[in-house]
Amino acid sequence: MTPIIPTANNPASATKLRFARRFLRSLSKMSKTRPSCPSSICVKKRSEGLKMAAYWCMARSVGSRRAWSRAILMKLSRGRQQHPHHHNFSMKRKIRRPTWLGKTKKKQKKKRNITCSSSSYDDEDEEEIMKRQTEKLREVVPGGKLMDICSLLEETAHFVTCLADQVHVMQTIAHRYS
Amino acid sequence: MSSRRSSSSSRSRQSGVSSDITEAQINDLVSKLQQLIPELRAPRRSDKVSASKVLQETCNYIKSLHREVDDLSERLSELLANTDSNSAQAAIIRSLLM
Repeated sequence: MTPIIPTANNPASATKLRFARRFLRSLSKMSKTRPSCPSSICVKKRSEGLKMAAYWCMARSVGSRRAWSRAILMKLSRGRQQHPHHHNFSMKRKIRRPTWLGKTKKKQKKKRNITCSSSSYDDEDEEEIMKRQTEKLREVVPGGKLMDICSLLEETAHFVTCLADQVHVMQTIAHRYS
Repeated sequence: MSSRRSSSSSRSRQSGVSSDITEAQINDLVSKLQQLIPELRAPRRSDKVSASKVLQETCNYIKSLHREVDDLSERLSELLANTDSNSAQAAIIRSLLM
């Protein structure tokens, strides 16, 4: 997958740098506060915490300018409020996973099958297909269920850009540390 | 809903074509979204890709990005267990700037 290359005029690059700094700070915090235990359970829990920290850092870097980042911050902070003793994201905390962070791969497979079967009705039911695709997009984009179609498309564009930046930063970090 | 009405009424005084103006806006946003999706950006066989195709590919792209984040966070947690060096941070930020 080719990540989006930031240009000089691309405002997303400032967000990307903010995200990189925040994420690196939380990485060093996590490595300091938690002793590194090699067991597979520890690694799994830490990876869950890392994932949530990544989304949190990206949403904080974007701030409250965007509806999707506000939605992420609200959902993740609700998880924090339920467990006020744990200030970092790793270990011993079950955050209620928002649907757009879907871990349920089985459900995703079912949705894909529905898409394949409906593609044969392209000519007749294009409006129906559009509605269905819009509903799917609303589920995937955080905060998408409350927006009208224009805002949804704008938010999706920004969300995709930031998510690609996040992936690029994480790839760079993994490359440097390995 | 009200935001859509206000934006469409500012561009058109005819009540009958307000839905067309909104559709043009939607098409414009969809084409902008199309530019961001790698699968739809590279092959340019036809000028127009249907909007539903763009939305479908966007959903798939977002899901694949989420999977990448999952894999990367697993890799990073394993790497974190092995190293706690902070000296790479400056190098990482420098490489992101280039």
